[in-house]
Amino acid sequence: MYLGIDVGSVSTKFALIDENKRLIFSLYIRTEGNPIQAMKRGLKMIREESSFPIRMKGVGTTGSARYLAGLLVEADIIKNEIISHAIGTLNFIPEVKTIIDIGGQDSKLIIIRDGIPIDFSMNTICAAGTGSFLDHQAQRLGVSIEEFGDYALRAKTKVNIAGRCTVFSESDMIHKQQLGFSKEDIIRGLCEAIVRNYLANLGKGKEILSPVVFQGGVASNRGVVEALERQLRTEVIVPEYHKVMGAIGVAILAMETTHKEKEFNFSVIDVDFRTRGFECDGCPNQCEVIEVLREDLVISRSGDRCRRWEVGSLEKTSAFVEIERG
Amino acid sequence: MRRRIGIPRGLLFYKYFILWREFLEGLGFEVLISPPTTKEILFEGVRNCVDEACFAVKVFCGHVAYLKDKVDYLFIPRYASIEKKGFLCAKFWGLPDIIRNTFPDAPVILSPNIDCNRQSLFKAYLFFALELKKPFFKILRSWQSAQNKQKEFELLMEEEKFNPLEAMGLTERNRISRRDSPSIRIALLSHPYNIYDSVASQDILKRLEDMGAEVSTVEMVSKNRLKKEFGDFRNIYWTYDRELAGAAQHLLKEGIDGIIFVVSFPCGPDSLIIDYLTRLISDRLPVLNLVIDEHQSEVGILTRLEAFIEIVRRRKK
Repeated sequence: MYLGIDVGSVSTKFALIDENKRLIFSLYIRTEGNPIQAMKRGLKMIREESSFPIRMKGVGTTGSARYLAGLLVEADIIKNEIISHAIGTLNFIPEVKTIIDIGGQDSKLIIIRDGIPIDFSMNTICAAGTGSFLDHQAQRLGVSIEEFGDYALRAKTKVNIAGRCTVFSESDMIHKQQLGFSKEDIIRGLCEAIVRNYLANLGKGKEILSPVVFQGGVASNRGVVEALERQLRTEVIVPEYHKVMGAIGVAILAMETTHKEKEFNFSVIDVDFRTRGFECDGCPNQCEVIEVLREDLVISRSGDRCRRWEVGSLEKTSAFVEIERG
Repeated sequence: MRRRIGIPRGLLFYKYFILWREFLEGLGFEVLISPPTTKEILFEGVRNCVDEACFAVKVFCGHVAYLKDKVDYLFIPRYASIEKKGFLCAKFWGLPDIIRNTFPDAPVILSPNIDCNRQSLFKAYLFFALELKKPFFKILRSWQSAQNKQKEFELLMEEEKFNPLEAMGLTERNRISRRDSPSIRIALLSHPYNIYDSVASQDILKRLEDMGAEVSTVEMVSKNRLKKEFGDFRNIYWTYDRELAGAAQHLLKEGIDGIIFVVSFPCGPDSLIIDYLTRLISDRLPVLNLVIDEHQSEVGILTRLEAFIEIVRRRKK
């Protein structure tokens, strides 16, 4: 069996696959701002859920916290989310030509031709139109995020909402509410705005051919799916496992890299992991060095441009001795 | 006593430092350059500079802040154009004024007026030095040796493929490791002040080389070659952006696996030309656009570079 873990900004995803790349078990939980806790929680649930001993041949991590996650579970492969998503989707829909992924804080567009990812784009610094924005608006309107999409489907009139910027779009929504439009109409307007923004921002200059696959947390939102279909004038496929596609992808990548069988060490659940940071004063660069500790042992340091703090290499330097003493 | 003149390590420093240093030293100045950008320099630049300026100008301001109390003069030439019928971005025209207004307490700013639409490069530097009351023959000698040194510097980049800092002798030359059987060739197209400032660019160049890519830049294409490739691009108003387009054209013919454009937010000329080039090229090769500014996170750059390199590799296979 192979395990893929996708630790994102909003949610953490787990996928277990077998030798035939079949999904055996998957899990989607909220990261709640604490990726270490979320991973432990997820692993605990996997251990409790599975009545059989899990023989793991490989573990892969992806998502924005992929390096931290990789450290925790001693991953065999750590891969960026673009490739992981592409590999995951290709496994289920080999003929896919376009992958649209909208997650918690970023959105991606991956162009695939002949089964190979050939181009991609990601949203720039701004997170307008991603999952966490929808979350926030649902909360403001008093609608649960699960029902959000269905509201859009019940809309009767067309309302234009500015979608370029989260802040402007919120004030525009309030304005439209004050004009007396219903919640349903406004939510549909918002779904349209998100798609318009996505296509203008990420789709610029890209050839979006069908089959188009839509995945990530926001793909659960039927209002956004419908808006995509309307604006692209083509059918949009939302695969069954759209929420965990990145985790499945990196599990497959782990399978392609490793072959040694070992018992998965669930004991990491009970181990204390901590992160702490300090500013290096070795030179005017003032790098913010980030340390990850397992119990009281530093297992990784990153963020230093010159690599002087790299674990293993620095025990000799005097600066290290001072820090340890001090 | 020799008067000390400071050259900020930013913007056109990466193109003309050798010419400037040689000329100014020939005239009897002691030349001081600011150190490679540090976070402190970056913060000082962002803190002092007007918000509307591009990121590269903010970095430049940081270097001025570092130098201003350590020198008698600052050397900030006004570069309007370096060829007939070609222009540079307005920020280079106004740079001495921008700095004078940003730092009222700065020392005297010496700035020759470089505008090849009006007068030759030589005349510009000659008049500049005459105004400083330097003897004519001394100016002539300094100019000749400065021009020779500058040519040597450019040849080192074009023929030996050194990067500007290596060719200037400011960093160690590590060309050999670069030629260690590169598996992929990437064109990194941008203005030199964007990619050779390792702090401002988040080390894009080094990260690419660490990932096993052989990186080609505009500086590595000879000026004559660039001219031949202009073709449809010959009417691009900005000289440096025309050179970018020419380099893209030439490197495409030479055979590269992908192109990365790096833009300093919110660069005006690049926002037009890079977009235009992206549209021209993106159906032939993978193209990545990276924007650098003071808010960038390391993760954002790293994820994009990793994914891009992987896509290039998979496509090549």
